[in-house]
Amino acid sequence: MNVVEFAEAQKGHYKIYPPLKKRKMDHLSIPFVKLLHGNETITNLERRWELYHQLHSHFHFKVDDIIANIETDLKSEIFDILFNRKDSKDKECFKTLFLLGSDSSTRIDLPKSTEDLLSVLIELTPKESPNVRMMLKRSMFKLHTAAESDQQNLSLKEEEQNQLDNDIQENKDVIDEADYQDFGDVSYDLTFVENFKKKYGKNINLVFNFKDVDSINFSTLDNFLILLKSALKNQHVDISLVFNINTNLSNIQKNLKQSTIRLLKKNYHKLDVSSNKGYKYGNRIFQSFLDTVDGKLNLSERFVQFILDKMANNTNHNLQLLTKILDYSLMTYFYENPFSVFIDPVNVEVLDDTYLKLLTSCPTFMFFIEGLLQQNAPSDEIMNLLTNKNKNLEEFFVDFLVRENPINGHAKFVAKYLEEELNITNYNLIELYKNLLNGKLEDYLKRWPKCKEQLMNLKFEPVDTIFQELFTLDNNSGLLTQALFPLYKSNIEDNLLNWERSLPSLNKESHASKEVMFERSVGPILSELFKLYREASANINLYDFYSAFRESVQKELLLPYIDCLRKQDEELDKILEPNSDTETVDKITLALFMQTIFEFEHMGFIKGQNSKNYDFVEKCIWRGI
Amino acid sequence: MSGLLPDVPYRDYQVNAIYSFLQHDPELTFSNIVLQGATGTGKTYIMKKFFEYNPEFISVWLHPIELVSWKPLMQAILRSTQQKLKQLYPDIEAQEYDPLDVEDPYQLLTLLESVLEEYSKVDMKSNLIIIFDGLDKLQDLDASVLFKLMKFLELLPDEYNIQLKFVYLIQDSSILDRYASCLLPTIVFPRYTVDEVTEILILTRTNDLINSDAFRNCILTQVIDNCDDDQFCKVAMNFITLIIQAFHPYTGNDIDTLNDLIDFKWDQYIEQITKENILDPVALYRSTSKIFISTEDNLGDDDNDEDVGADEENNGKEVFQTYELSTISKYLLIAAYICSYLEARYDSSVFSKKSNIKSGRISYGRRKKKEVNPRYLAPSIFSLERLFAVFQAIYPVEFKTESGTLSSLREDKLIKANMEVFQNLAELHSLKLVATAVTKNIDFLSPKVKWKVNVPWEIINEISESVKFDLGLYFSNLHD
Repeated sequence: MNVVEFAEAQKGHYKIYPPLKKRKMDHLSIPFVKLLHGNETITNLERRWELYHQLHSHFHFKVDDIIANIETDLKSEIFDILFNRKDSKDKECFKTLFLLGSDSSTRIDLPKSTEDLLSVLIELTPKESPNVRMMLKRSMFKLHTAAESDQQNLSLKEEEQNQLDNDIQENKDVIDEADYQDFGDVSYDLTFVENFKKKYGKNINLVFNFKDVDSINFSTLDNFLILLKSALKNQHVDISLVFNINTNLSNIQKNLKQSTIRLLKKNYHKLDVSSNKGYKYGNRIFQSFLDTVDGKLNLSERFVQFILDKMANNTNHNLQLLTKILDYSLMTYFYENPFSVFIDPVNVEVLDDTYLKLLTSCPTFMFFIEGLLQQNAPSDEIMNLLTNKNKNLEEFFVDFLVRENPINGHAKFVAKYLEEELNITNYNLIELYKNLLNGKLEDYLKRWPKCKEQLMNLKFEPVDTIFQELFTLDNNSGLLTQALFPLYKSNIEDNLLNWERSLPSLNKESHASKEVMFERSVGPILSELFKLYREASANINLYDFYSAFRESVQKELLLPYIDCLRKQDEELDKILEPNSDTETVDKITLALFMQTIFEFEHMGFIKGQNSKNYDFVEKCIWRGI
Repeated sequence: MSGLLPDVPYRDYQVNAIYSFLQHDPELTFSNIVLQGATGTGKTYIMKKFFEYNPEFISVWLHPIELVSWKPLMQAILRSTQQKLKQLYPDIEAQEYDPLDVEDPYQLLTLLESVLEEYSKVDMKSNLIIIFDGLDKLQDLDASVLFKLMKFLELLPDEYNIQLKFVYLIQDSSILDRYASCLLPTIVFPRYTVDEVTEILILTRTNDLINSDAFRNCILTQVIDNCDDDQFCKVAMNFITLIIQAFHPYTGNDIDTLNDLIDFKWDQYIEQITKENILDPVALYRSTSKIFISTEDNLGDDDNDEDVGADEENNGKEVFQTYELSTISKYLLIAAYICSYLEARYDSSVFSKKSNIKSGRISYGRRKKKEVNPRYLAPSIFSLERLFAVFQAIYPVEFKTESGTLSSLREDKLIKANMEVFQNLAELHSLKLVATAVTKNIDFLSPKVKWKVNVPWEIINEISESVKFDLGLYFSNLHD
């Protein structure tokens, strides 16, 4: 048995990927379907697809950029805190940095080691820190390897110099070596740090990076910190501690001793790495989305509210979630809206009667016509608009197409104003956008006292643009909610109850075999049993359940199906050979019943039998609530 | 002030004792001496001073806290002895032994014997005093360590000219009780009283404080030229007394803690110093009284305070991020708490729509009052379905449509367990706020996995307050 096999055998669980039959695709490689009741031309479809692709990749390009920036921003910030800030305090204390919301993957860059200073990064994971002794040993070992490799680099350089230089240098080297031997013992404890200067002739800057601090035993950590404290008394040692915390500070604070906290507090910094606290990056992504859709697309209030709600519900992966929602909404928009093709005004050439007919039924357009009527506008003008005589409607539409969306523009303006004029950075662009939409911008801005005086400059009246509903991202059908945040159990339940809805219909397909037809007429056994399951009480007597199931099976449908199968399957035939029809049905139903019960167990509908009582299974629900 | 050692107040007896126990003649010196006293009672300080004023003693300091377990301790004994002797008598050609060879006490003994034998060439008999600073801080301390060390000296032959003597500095007196039968000479360092603490701190810290950069800057920026050094000293002394008076109930007579507090508060204190109030302690106290209210030895609150000041108006908005949990997470956690601490059989009466929460006996049916408040017990385990059921019952769903309209029929009346709920639950689990009954090889999909909540009442109360959920209501009338 090789190693891989052995490792495989030790696993507690396995993943099995069932071979997926590839669905026969249309010869068209575009997953979009023809809209306008199937009247959309292929070219328009392709344009829609291309346009969607352009926007999507553009948006993602920007998002990647922003996320990459987060990383670099963060690194430089950490570097700045750890190495560039010269603190005037000469007291013995650690330089402490708490990285909040960190997933411990942040790498820490070290400054290059110089003639008299060596910086060493020591990373400690919870697994490496079972107790103080191991922590100390590991960290000293890491320090030692770092020091040795540094030493080697140096001596290599020195050798190069030596070849050019004279003997004096060599002499010095000999002396150095003698020196090393004096303190040649390396025991992995703090004496190593203490003698470091003597041995390597350098000051050290130790950076301890505690990964996943929450999983390290706190009393161990506490003791280790106290231990490190005693290394501080050496003049040549600087110690920085970096804690990667993914819970919160108060958790740390509660678990360490007060005296340790005080020790850490003397020189400490906090940095939120999670990139979802504060709105900086979320704002940037949202802004780039607004830019991507060229200021043409609107976002409906409902949709923005949806984004806000969902982001509030998810604290750790905010940015990913935001990107996902925006992505999905963009996709559905292009998928379902035939007018999406006009996002690119160049495509206006394909505008024809099929589109125009739909245009006239737009609520905003109708509202506009009504307004015209009330103002007693000349009737032929209105008629021209409605019937597209002289291409009036077309021109009218194109006119609106090239207009910028005032809301997007103003959102950007306000954001810029807040940042540049008032130095406010803790605003939430998405929330601001929502308030713009419902005209409550002033209420939102009043939060900042500075803004109160500037309200006049930022004032904005939301206006209805004609045809805006054609270019609005919305969540009106709950599609996003369903697709992004599916309800597991109720979805399964619904589908089991209405299996006809979710299985592909067979009516048109003449080539379906007889077998499949029979199978379909019987229906999935799972959903048959599920109907019974719904009516049962929390504890199900298996035998009663089975009897009920047997009664509910439609024998007249089942029998021809079995006959059909028997002809193909000899083994099945053998088993059922000596039996009469009723016996056959009994046998088959029992087999099906058992199979289904097990499947229910795996689907999480019932709990398996407990050891005491095999007659009953329990529903996986709580007291029917 | 002690006559024997300068700069050591209130420790005459102890200093006298040290003088009498430690002699130049090895014959007259005890092999093992214990100095016992709580932290910050001056053990290390006095010993340092002692050797400073009596340089003829050869002393070696060991810090067991850095050595973690007994083996490095043994190695350290050999290494430091060897180093010290080599440093003192560079003329003597002695063989170097690798301290890492010391694997057990016996090896230490043999190696030490050979080291000491080589250095016996020195003329005079003298002591080599090894001080174990904080022996009880050794991580892997067990009862035998001190025994080993004590008896160790008896094994060393006494004809050598260099004699080892051990001095142990120990904080915890209970450790010494174990060795009561060994008749160790013990010098006890009692805690200082408030007055003594005050005087010591004033003595040690005043110069520090007025020489600190911050204070100098303050004087320069405020252009304070109406004071002389004595008056500066008075400011610092006054500050120290204020600190002690304010925080004494919290710190006790712990000099370390007080020192820390002085460090923390001094910068804040001098920010308020102006030309006018520097000579007026009362005015200065008035303007700085805030800093004497809290100890501020927590990490997070600095920012929060600023936030509250900056945007008090949108406080309501900020709460929903307290504890960095989302609303769903918070409700899940509350539900988990209820599941863990309320018995399942009352669920239906508490949470079903029919009986609203009533106080008193009606809501729970007829039963005896519980003898112990369940909150004081360990959390009991529950199954996930129950958690979701309770969660559904307590989670407030905002109705967007008016009740009675057709569209309100389309809205879900209750929150259903969707992706978000599961995500949040997973988050809570990885934050260790909820835990499973077994910790290894958890199969989260199995219905047999039992869960429990992992937060105490204080936190859950805080969380439930942040979402304006009166958790106390569910626990009222459970106990007296």
